[in-house]
Parts: sequence; C-alpha cells; structure tokens
Amino acid sequence: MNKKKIAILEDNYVMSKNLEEILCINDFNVEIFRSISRARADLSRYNPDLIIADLNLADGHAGEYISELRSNKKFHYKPIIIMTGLLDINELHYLDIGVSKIILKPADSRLLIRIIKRLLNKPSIYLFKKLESFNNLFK
Amino acid sequence: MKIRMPEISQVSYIVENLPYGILIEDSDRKIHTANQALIDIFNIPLNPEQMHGLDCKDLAAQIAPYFKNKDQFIETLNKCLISKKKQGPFQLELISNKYVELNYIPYYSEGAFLGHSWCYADITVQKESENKIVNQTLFFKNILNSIPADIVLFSPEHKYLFINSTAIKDPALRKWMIGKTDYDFCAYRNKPTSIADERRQKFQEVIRTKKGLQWEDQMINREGKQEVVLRILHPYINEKQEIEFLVGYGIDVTDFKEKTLKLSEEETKTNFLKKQIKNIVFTIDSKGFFEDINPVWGNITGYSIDESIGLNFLHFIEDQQIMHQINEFMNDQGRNDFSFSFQIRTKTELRWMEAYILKERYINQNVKSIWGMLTDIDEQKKEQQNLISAINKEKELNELKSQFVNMVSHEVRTPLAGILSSVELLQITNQNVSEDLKDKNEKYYNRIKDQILRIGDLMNDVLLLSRIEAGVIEALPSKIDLIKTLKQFLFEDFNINDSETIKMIIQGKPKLIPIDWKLMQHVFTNLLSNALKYSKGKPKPVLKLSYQNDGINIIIQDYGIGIPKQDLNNLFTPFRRGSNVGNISGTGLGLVLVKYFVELHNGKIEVTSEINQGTIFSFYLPYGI
Repeated sequence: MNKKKIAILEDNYVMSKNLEEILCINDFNVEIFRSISRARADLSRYNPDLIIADLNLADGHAGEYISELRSNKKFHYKPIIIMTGLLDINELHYLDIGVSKIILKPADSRLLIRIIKRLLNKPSIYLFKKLESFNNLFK
Repeated sequence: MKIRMPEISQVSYIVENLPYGILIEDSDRKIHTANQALIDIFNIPLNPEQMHGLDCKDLAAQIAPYFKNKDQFIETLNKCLISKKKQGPFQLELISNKYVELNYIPYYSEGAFLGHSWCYADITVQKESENKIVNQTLFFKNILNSIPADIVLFSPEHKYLFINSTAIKDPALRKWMIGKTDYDFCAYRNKPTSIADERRQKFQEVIRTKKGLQWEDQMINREGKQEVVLRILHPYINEKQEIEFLVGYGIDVTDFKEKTLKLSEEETKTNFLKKQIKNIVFTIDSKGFFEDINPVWGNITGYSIDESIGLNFLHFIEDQQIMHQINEFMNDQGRNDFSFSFQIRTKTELRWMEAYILKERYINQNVKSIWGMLTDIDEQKKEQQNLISAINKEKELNELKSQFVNMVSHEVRTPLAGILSSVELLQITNQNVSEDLKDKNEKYYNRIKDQILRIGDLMNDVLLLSRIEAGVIEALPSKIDLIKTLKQFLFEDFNINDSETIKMIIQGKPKLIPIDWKLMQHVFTNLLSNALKYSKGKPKPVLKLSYQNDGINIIIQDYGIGIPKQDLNNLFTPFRRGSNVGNISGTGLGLVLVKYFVELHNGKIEVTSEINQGTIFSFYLPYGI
C-alpha cells in the first residue's frame, strides 16, 4: 500500500464525491470528512498525507480548525490545500496559519493534481511560503 | 381873387406860440423874427424883440458852440444857404444832450428871394426813446452774443435771420450767413449736404408739429475731442397761430454729459460695492467689542448695526472651543492673524462662516483694534456635507454591491465546481467509449469546461471591479522575486492546459520588486491567457522580463490575430472587446483590471498590435513605489 492518503474536508456531496473519484483515478487513497466535528474525531486515525479543505462548513469555519491542526505535532508538516468559492479571503492570513495553497473553485482538476503531487514531493513548500509572508511583515 | 393874408400881428402871434424854435431872416440875413422857443433851445440871453434886426451870421457863430459837432452845424447851414431850397430835417445833437431837428424853408415871392426861416424842433424825448430802443436791441444782442450757446433765428423758410457770435465767430461770415440756408453754408464750406438734409428734416418736423424739438449731436471738435451738443429748435408762434420765426439753440453739453457719466459711474460703483460685497467687514477692539461693521452684517445676521456695536464679537459665536481659540489669539502678542470657520448665531439660525481676523497695532506694538472679515460659507458647507454624505452613500452602496457579488459568486462557485468535476469525470469515462463517439464527446466536454471556467472568470472580474468602484482596493506591495513567483504561478495557478507553452525570457540583473502579487497575478492571468487564447496554432507567446535601472519592463507578446486599430482606443473600457475575437470567449473586463492594477503600482501600460501579426502588451513597474 504505497498510495498517498488524501483527506477531503467538504460538506457538498457532489463536490466531495467527484473529487474523491478524480483523486482515486489518479491513484490516491481518499477519505471524505463532511464536518469539522467528524474531522476532529477521525482525522487523526486516518492520518492523511495531504488535506483538501473547504472553508465554509456546516458546523463552522475551517480556518480555526486548520490552526488547530497545525499546533498538533502529527499534522505539523502535512500540506493543506484550501478550495473555496470565496474571492475576498485574506490570503496572507491563511498562509500565515500554514495553508500550503489556496485554490479557487471551479478549478481544473489537472491543476489540482499537479499541485497535490508537487506538495507531496516537497512537503516543506508551505513552510517556505510561511517564512516568505512572515518576512514580508518586516519589510 | 385876392388872398386875404392875416395881419402881421396875427402871424407874429402864431410864430410866438408854435412849439418850435423859429428864426426868420430877410434876404440880407438880418433877423426878422425869432421866437421864445428858439431862445429857450439855445439859452440866448435876449428876448424876441431884442433879437430883431441882429445879424444871423453873428447869431450862428454865437450858437455854434452849443452843438456837439460844431462843424457839422455850420456845414449844414452853408449847404442850406447855398441851395436856397427847402431842406431838412437835419438831426443835430447839442452839448446839453438835447437833440434838435432843423428844417430850412426859403421864401419866394413872384420868383424873388425874400428870405428864409430856420425851424428847430426839440426832439430830445423822441431821440431818447429811439436810443433806448437801439440800446435795448444792442443789449439783447450782446446778451445773445455772450451766451456760451449757439443761438440762431430762422425764418419759416429756414433762412438765417440772426446768428450769435458763439455760433459763428467770424463777423464777416456771420453777416454773410444772414438770409442764407444750411445748404449755402455747406456749399461755402465744401461739406456734404447730408448735415443740411438732416437739419432740414428736423426743421420741417417743427414746422409741421409747431412744437419744439431737441436732439443731441455727437461731433469731433477742432481739437479732435468728442463733443456732445444739445440742439433745440423752437418755433415762435404769434397770435394768429402762425410761426413767425424759429429759434435754434446749440449747447455744448460735453462736460455735463461727462459729469453725468461720472455720477452714474459713481453710482454704479457704490451699488456694486453695496450689492456685490457679500462679506462682513468689521473692527473690534482688543477685548472683542464691535467698533464698526459694514451693512452686510445686518443682511446676514438680522441684527441691526446699531444694536450690535458695543456688543462683543464672541457673543455671536456658538462654539465654546472657537471662542477659546479667539481669546487665545487676542491675548497672544506674537500672533498677528487668525483664520477659522465657525457657526455665527444669527437672529434665526446658525450659519457657517469663514473668518479672517488681523491685528492693527500702535507703534508700541499694542493692539489698536482687530480687523475682521467674515464670508458666508453656509451654503457651501451644506453642499459639501450633502456631497460627502452622497459619496458615503455611494461607497456603502458599492460595498454592498461587492458583498452581494461576493456572496452570489460563492454560492454559484460551489455548484460550478461540482459541474466541472462531473464533466472531468465524464471525460475520464469517455476514454472507454467507442472511437467514433470519443472525439465528439471530448469536443463537447471541453466546451462545457470552457464555459464553466468562463463564468468563474467573469465573476472574478465583476467582483474585483465592484471592489475597485467601492474604493476598497489598495496596493500593499512587498518585495518579491518575480521570476520565482511567475514560475510557480504558471505551474500551479495558470488554469490552462498548456501553461508550459509560454516562453519566458529574462534580461538584465534580476532584483526584488515591490509588488502586491495578489493584485498583480490578475494582470498576468489576463494578459497571458489572452496571449494564449488569441494565438492558437501560432508560435508560442513570449513573456519578457527586462530588469532596468529604475524599474522592470514586462512584455507579453503573442503572434495571434491582433487587435484592429479602431478597437485599440477602447481596449481598456469595460465590456469592449476587439471586433475580431469571433467565438473566443472573454468577459471584456480583464484589460480594465489589468490597467487599473498596473497603475496602482505606479506603472504604465502600452499596447501595440498588428492584425494577424500579433499583439504586444508592455508595462513598466518602478522599483520604488
């Protein structure tokens, strides 16, 4: 079982199912979490290599949960991709809390796959970004 | 029939009592009879009887000195004596200021000269009244001549009867003009007859209406100065209601006119100052009590000047803080003037005023009084407030709009993402379909995908535009490595299959550039996707970064369909697209955002294009913003 594991945090059924299918076709192991509470309960057990999250979920905002994950040693270096329909989010803020990449819906799945593969090969990329934005604060 | 002559004594009686001085001489020039009247005229110290038999020559010599003109008297006598014919009357003036009239009557009987009589009549009274008339005429003539106005009399035929010396100075010409007309004058002076025509017209009007007429003539005088002459033509109508003559006056009213003009000028000025000066001007003493105020004060505040003088200026100020500031200014020796805005307390309301006050000092630098000027800015201020609230309202509205667009966009984006992923899955399953259907399906799937992505782009652009309109977008640049950022952008974000097909060229020594990438990535997305979109099947588009001394020049060049010349000017206008785009999809908003974001970075964008040769977008970003 060499397949990389991807967790999808998404409450939209169609979206999550389609994404799951596309990722499976691309040879990933996928598990869907439909709410933050589900993720809190089970994500640790699943232990994904990468997390794709929607921001607005039925039981809360994913932003806080992501900060929570980042403070957990287990998820310290796991790449996190945000997929959102919101245009005016504060990108810097999410990069600061450790989001590796923000993708705007609707996005070409080939682009998503490309980003996932890159992040899995170089999981430290998000740290780079964090540092970059951190440095920007002092310029 | 024998004529019965009166007795000599009777004749003597008659002679004696005639009111004329009678002297009868015989042919030897001896006095036959002289009456008392004669003796009285010449004051001869003899009575009539004593005169009898005296030599007339002696008498003539004796009375000659009584005449003012002695020679004239003797000459007259001799003339008569030589002619021996009835002569006279001769008027002679005596030294006693009396006038006498002399008649000479010779007597003949049957052809023989018998003698003659001299008859002197005292005509002093008659002469005096005659003289009086002459003098009076002269007097009036003199008056007319000395009046500084042209005065002429016309006959009803429009001939000159009289001209005073003001009208024509030259006495010869004046004399010549009598009985002449204006036409004669024009001919004499070689002038066009138009003046005469004009005068004739007016003259006839007066004749017709029997009423006076006046008009003003503007003329240039001999010194070349403009002159205004008021002319009056007035008919003199006798008892029979006939026009006997007409009087023409001409009065030089230039000075008068000028004075009137000056007067009206003064009036205009005063009115102007009264009506147009809308500022309150006042002086207050060093404690703030009014000394003098102009009338505008009353118009604005509703308080009369009388009731305000002696009151303190601060009394009319509402704002305590302003009062405090003014007090501070008045007490601060170092300060000379002070400008502020405040609300003045008028009788009915509070009005916004702009004030300027200035200290007038004595030589010892003590404040003598304070001059002030108030400008009513109430309406401006209200207008300004209306404007600000209107702007704020619009901003709110725009903010609301962008929030709405954002919300709608989010609500639409999630299902769009669902549709897109479904189509992508269909594309995957399409791999297993029979060959004849596969290509067709692939074409349709791609079309759907393309349209979905287009809706996403459109919402992106609309949202950004509404945020620009709301004025909430500002550039927050930070120094970035543009090459690295662009490479990653092309790899991770560029929503096109063939992002590798863009050729990147770098010139110069790379530097960190202050860029707000969040904004600038829209510029690259738009320009690069355009370059690819409009050059399918053509050589690769080129992205050239040229690092220069003060900034970076970025060129995005494609070899596609190009932009028609007539569309170049409207390229950066919302919803305008080139007329040759055909069925290539686009929102018509992209380039508007590109220009805006480039300018937000103090950059400049230019475009050159050639149909079917390609398009070059080039923009310059300075290193220092």
